Amino acid sequence: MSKRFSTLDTTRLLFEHPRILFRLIERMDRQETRYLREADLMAEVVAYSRGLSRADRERLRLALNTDNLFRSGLVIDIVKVDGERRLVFQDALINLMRACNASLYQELTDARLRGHLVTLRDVRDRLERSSFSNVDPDFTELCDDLNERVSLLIGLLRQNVLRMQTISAQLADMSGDASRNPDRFQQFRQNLFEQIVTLYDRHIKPTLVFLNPDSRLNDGTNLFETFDAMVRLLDDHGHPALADQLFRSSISLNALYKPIQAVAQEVEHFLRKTRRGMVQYNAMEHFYGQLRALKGETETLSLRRKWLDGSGFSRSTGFLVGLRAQPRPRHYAFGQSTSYYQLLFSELELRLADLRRQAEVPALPEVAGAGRHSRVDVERINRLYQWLERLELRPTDDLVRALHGRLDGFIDGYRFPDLLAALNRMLNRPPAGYRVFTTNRFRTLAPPAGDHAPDERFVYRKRRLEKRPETEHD
Amino acid sequence: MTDLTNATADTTASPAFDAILPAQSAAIYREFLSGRVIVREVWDPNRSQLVANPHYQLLYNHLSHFRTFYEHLGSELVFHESGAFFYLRDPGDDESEEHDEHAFRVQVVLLLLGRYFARSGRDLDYLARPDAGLDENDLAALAADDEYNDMLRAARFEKGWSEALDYLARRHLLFRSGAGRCFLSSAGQSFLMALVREYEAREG
Repeated sequence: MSKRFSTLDTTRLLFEHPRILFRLIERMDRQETRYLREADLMAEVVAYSRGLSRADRERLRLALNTDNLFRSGLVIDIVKVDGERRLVFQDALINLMRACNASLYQELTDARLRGHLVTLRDVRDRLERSSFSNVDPDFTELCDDLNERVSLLIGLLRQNVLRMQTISAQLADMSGDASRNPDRFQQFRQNLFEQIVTLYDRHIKPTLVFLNPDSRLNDGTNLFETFDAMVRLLDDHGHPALADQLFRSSISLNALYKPIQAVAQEVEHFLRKTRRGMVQYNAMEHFYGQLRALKGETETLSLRRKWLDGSGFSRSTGFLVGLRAQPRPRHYAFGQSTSYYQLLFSELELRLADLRRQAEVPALPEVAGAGRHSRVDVERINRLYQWLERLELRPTDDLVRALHGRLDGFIDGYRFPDLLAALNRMLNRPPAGYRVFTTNRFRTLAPPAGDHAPDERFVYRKRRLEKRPETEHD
Repeated sequence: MTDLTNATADTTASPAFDAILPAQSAAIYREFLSGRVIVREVWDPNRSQLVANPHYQLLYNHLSHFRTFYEHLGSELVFHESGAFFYLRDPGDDESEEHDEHAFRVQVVLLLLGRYFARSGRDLDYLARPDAGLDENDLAALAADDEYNDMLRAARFEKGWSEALDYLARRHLLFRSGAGRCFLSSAGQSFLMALVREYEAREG
């Protein structure tokens, strides 16, 4: 047992295998103790590590050895009572563990809330007697103390709210029997009521009363009155910054009232449910739990897992599997009319004309350094323009597509930006005798063949190329 | 001459074609191609009520004809009895991921709606009633829930609830009955009911 791990590595290992401490914290909470029995820890480690590889098992046993835990400072005290050793873990570690698992948040009981209120009242009383001078260490210490208590309280309540919001799973658990034996539903319902009422009375209601600004307490001021008094004291004695901060805290506390009220409402709804409603509720919770597990898988450190992997889920329910929109069969626009053949031949002629001046095809790849120097870009576009200068066109409904068809596959290194440039040119200086008419209809083009960005799409407004009427010639 | 003999042969082979107007059959085909389900009753926004869907009637009355017809087109016409709707199943590659993609996204949105509704203390039946369903407050509450939004995002609904509800509405799994109001169609509802039944069977 000479091998030791550093504090950091021990902690890391604990968080890699969080289930061990989760279980132990649960046990601690159940027994309402602040320590763990060494034997429990060992048993848990042995049980947990059974399924691990040999090396992992060895590592875990060494790290969670009492000696190692104590020396690395994660266990702050070892008490020997009745022949057993009790380990007291560092609070910070336990709290961090709780933060990772909502079900481990400790429920705020009435007594605990009252304790917080009493300390705050105490701080207020001390504040009344204090000097309010920044050079008085008593006062500055008091302020620090106040800040710490307030943030502690807010943190606790917020955790509690999160915990309460998982109540739906808890309710589903409690009422799981409802769907099993419908004939004994009445008796079961009685039990359920009692359990839920306990939950409501012990945890939700005290918190609601605690956070209600209108509640009257027979032993003194309520939370918000205490806060108000402190804000006023600080403000009157020239500490507006601190007063503001306290005021904001009281607003945050006030805002916590709302989510808790929503939870209370849900519990109330639940009590009024029929058996059928309860089964529905539980079924939704059950399948939502599956979905949540899928979502949990996307929240690991892997950056590539962004989407839910639902094929297992959707197959298990089988609903609408295989549903998808399908592409409609394409019609080929073969025609037999005279105009169809005229169009066909004029297009062929234009393409032939292109072929005839193949020697002049601009070699765009030579100037493919687009984006690096504006001079190169200009050169590239200039060459393209020279080609366009003598490009013969015919009237068409969709100039962009026609241009694309003429450039794509004909000019090496053609890309969408070139089409944009060509189009710009056409708009500003249409070919002689023609005019370009821009419509408000949008079309999309697939990328040119051999493009290195196959996901690219070119979305454009449809443009018509029309013969300019004779009268408009100038 | 050959044309004539062919034509007579056709009619004797499948007289069912004669009983159906090509325009109606084509309309059904278009609905299916756009990924829609054909439900028994659709929402008529002008009259603000559910009306019988003639497409459904036609499919229902000539079920065997349409089954064969779509089989020849390479798809499978599925009739969902309890939900009273038809959909076209792409039998294509069963193993491919895309095969389940749409089904899963539909299921996620429906399940989120169902869970929200059950948690708000209402019977799921009301989710599919035009006079009940989801109202503005419900939609606002859904939009304000971070976990639901995360879930939608992970199911590729980048724009959140508006996109998700549109997705369902386009497929006739949900109808919009007014500004900020919507309810599930019998098809959408049947999914939630199937979940409840499955849960009961499993736990029972």
